[in-house]
This record gives sequence, C-alpha cells and structure tokens, in this order.
Amino acid sequence: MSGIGDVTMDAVTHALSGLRTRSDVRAHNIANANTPGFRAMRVDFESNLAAALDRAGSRRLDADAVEATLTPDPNLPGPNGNTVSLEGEMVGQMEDNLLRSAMVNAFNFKANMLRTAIGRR
Amino acid sequence: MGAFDAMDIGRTGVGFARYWLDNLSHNVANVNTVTNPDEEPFRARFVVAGANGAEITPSGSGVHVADVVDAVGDAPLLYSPDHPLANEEGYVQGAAVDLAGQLTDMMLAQRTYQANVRTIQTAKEAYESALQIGRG
Repeated sequence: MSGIGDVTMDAVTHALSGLRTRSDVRAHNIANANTPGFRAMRVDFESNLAAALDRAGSRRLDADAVEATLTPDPNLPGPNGNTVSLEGEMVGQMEDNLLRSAMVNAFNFKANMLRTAIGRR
Repeated sequence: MGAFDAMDIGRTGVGFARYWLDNLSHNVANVNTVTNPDEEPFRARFVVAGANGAEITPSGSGVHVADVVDAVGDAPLLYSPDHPLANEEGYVQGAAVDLAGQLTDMMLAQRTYQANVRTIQTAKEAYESALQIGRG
C-alpha cells in the first residue's frame, strides 16, 4: 500500500490477511478431524506483526517481515494419531470472526478520518 | 490462493462426511443380509480419510477418501435349517457388521458434516465482513 495509507492501515491489512490464512488452516484442520495420523496446524501472525510494528514506529511496514508462521498444534494425539481439537477450532473460528470485525471497524474508522480530512463525508 | 479457499476446504469435508454416511447407511441396511456359509459374507465397508496436499492452499486443502476397506473377521453362523441358503448342517452366514460400531460412527459422521458446514458458514460471514471494508 502506498500514497494515502499509513502504518495503521498496513497493520489492519496484514492482520486481515493473517486471519484469512488462519481460517484456511482451520478449515483444513476441521476437514481432517477424522484423518488418521493428521497433525493439526496453528497460524501465528501476531508475533511477527507486533515485532514489525515495534521496529517500524510510525513508518510503513515491511511486508516481508509480517509473514504468518505455521506451527504444529501441541495437542496430544488421539488413539488414531490425530491432533485436531474440533471444539478448539470452533471457538477459534468465532474469535477470528470477532477479531476480523474489529479490524474492519478500525479500517473504516481510519478511512472516515481520511474522508473528513479531505473535506468529504 | 483463491478467493473462497476456506469454503472449498469446508466443501471437501462435507463431501467426505456425506460419503462416510452413505457407506454407514449401506452397512446398516445390510445388517440382516445372509449368505451361504461357503460364499463371501457381506462385510461392512470402512471409509479411510486422507489429508489433501497443497491443491487449494499451501498449508493444506481439506480431506479426501483415501481408501475403503472391508471389515475383517468371521461372520456369525446362524442356525436356520429351513433357509434356502442354508448348508447341509443347516447354517446360514450372517453379515460381518458391528451394528453398535456403525451407529456410533454415524453420530461421528453427522458431527463431522455439521462441523464442516459451520466452516462454510464462518467463511461466508468472513467474506461478508470483508465487503464492509470502506463502507464507513
């Protein structure tokens, strides 16, 4: 993003993209809740994003530095070697959706400020 | 990476659960199927899940039917001398189906179906909230 955007919009954009990766991985975990030996994965984008924001200060974010990381879920495997926690994924989906709404609200708040600044409502 | 990945992945899960339910229904429907003891009995079909690779997203793309295997073990012999399929000793062979196991699996398959439908619903809500970006 360039021109009119700033670090807030960058942060929101990367958070939305991280949430999107996470929901794809959750969908894959849920689809494989009965696959023998399947290891569930977790997506972490918050740590890299927070570190990149610390480094950037008020400057724009470096897009490469905010890649999401995938780690295996530390759940204990069930009798068939599967580590998917179905209820954990369901609760997670709900949390992700709330966080996504919050990000969209933050983006719209910022966009409204910009609209005010350029004299159009 | 496509626009509706989570939905596509959810769809593979729903498809798998439906196939699993189809096989379970087939097994339960044949729980009373008898054969001559010299022939192969009806054997319950078990569906084996396998994880998809990177077809839809790099991290994984849902689930597919990796294999369908028949139940192993001996089918029960039932004494029924008047039965047209009975052997000389008067026995017919029942089906190699564990009804209790099939019914508990049916509950699992139903929950699997519901969980994947929930994935699709959640993805739909996510895309709807994406449409609110910039609406102020």
